[in-house]
Amino acid sequence: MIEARNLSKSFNAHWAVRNLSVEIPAGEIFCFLGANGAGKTTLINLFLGFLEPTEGTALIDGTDVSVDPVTVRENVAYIPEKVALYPDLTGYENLEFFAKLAGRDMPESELLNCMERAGLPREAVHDSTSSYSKGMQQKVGIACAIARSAKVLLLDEPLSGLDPKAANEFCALITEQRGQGVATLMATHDLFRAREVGDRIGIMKSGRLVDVIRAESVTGQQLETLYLDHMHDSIEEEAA
Amino acid sequence: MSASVIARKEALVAGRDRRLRGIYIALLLAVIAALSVGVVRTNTFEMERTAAAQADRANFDAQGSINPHSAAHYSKYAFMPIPSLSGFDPGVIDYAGMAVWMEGHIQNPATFRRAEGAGDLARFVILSPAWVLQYLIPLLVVLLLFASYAGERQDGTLRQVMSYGASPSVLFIGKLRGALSALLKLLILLGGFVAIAILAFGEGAPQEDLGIRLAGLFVTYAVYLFIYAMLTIGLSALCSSRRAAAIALISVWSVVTVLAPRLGGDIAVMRTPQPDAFDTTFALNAVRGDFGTSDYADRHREEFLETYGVTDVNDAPVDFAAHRLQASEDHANPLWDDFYGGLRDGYASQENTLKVLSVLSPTSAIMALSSGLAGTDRFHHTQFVQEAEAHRRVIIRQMNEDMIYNANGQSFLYQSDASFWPQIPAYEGRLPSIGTFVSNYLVHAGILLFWAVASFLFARWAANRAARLEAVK
Repeated sequence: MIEARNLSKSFNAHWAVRNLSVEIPAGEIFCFLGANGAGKTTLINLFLGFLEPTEGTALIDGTDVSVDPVTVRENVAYIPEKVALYPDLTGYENLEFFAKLAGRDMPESELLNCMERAGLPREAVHDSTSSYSKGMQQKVGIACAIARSAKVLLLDEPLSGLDPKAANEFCALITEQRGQGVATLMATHDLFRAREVGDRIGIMKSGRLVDVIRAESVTGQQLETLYLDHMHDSIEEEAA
Repeated sequence: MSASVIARKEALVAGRDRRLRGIYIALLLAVIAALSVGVVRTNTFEMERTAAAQADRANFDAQGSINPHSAAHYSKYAFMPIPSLSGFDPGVIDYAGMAVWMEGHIQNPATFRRAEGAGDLARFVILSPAWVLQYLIPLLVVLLLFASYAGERQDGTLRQVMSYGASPSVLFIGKLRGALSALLKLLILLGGFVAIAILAFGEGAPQEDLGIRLAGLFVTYAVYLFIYAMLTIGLSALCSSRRAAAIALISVWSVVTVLAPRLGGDIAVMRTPQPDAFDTTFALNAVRGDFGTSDYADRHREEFLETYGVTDVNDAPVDFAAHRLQASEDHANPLWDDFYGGLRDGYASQENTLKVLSVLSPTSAIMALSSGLAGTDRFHHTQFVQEAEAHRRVIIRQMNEDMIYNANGQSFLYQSDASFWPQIPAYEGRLPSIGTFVSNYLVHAGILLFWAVASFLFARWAANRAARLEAVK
């Protein structure tokens, strides 16, 4: 469903993503761990078609993103660190707008159902999103993904800044989406959540995918040790 | 589909802004107030004009038995008809003379400028719907659209929207449609007010092509507001925050709308200075000269004797003194044409400078087009002055000929019968059709279209740039 083939992207001779290959099938959550500047956001931008790869190919559902980015985006739901909503519109109106933008003209009952499935309190759906907490805004993002029946979720640090309860609810939602056959690529710093919800965990360093681990095969402590080892190598390499 | 979704969202968001709604309503009220003031002013002017013309006619007709040349120096005025659309755009109405004294011997300049009697408060801009549309509605456009892209960039929604498959061009078209829809609704509302006020309550002089002029004004102002919408969207797209966009746009509005037209006017006047009233009067007297001592007078005498086959002017079958009066008119008329032609050339030179400088500001172009379509610009005034002069020549000749053929040598002692005066036609000022002046406005229309195309291309470029920048953030 999500596939990178020798994907590379450079900016002014600096490789943000270097020769990265990965395949994330439907119904799998793949978490990318990595320090700031490791290339996680660039990777997501390549899958969104916002960036042209320097080398290699990014594919969504078999379609080359750089060839037809607009069509590819129809199957993709993107949730950034802070879901951007229109503060003058209500949660419901935001959902209706983004659903229509994705070509889904849904009746009110279905939209409300999406919001309910995303865990938004019924009494809040008609409130202006300027009054929403970050967790509620993330839930609207999930509701948008549900509404458009996205086959692919691209999540860029979605748990950053969420309180534990909100983060837990968010993880439950993406786990539910996995059950619906959605392929998820999640970039995160949160090792604990990555191991909790991810099927596989990839560690990125200087644009390279240096390790891929099955989440169930490691404990939280082992994952942390492994991650820090890679980061330590990275610091030594930079120092050298 | 996506573009219309974005357009509807834009309308919804704009509709939610209470401050914007307040400003919108305030400007509508300003237009209604300006329109009311304008219509009342126009109706008053026209009423005064009609009353003055009637009084002038009555006085002229009631002269009784007097010498025609005395009558040629008696009150006989041509009053400029005031178009109903001056209630929308007064143009030069307040600064150009509204009446011409049609006197023998001399082509008097137009007098009775409204501004002369307006007092100190005239230094404030006259509130007219055209002024509100030219200066304040662009500000409304800025307030309506300044966050168009800048707000989305600041909030991150631009990137979010693009992740939903909206391409930069779809996004731009959506925003364009949203903006144009809002402006069109505003313009239809304002156009409706103007049309109703002018057609139902305007009591100005009849304007046969009023419908065409109203339609022309609607289209012209639609293009003008389109330009501001494009400039606002383009500048908004260049800014990454609402604050930066607001500051940039208010600055641009100040320069393009307020300063540039004023500067253009000042440059035009500096480049081609207008003669002051004293110089004009002095020059008029110089033009007039002393007919009695001119070569032309001597030649006229010889031609007169030859024409009538006599050696003494008193033996001629017509009155020599009266013939001489008409000869002095025929001698002076080309001189007046030259003198006033020179003045008009000066004004034309100023207009040409303004035309060129209106490349710097669409407001300059709209000011010219608006007053032209309203029938209140310099071209319409010049037309009135020229018609009044043509009429003066006809009636002076009529009075001179009465004396020529009926005085029987009594010359200035001859008195025309009281029944003669009503035979002198009154000046029936008619407003010229817009077709007469179309060629004068082609450059302004071209400049406005140039601004429309350039601002559209600028907005599209800036919008695509903003979308590209946000996508890779």
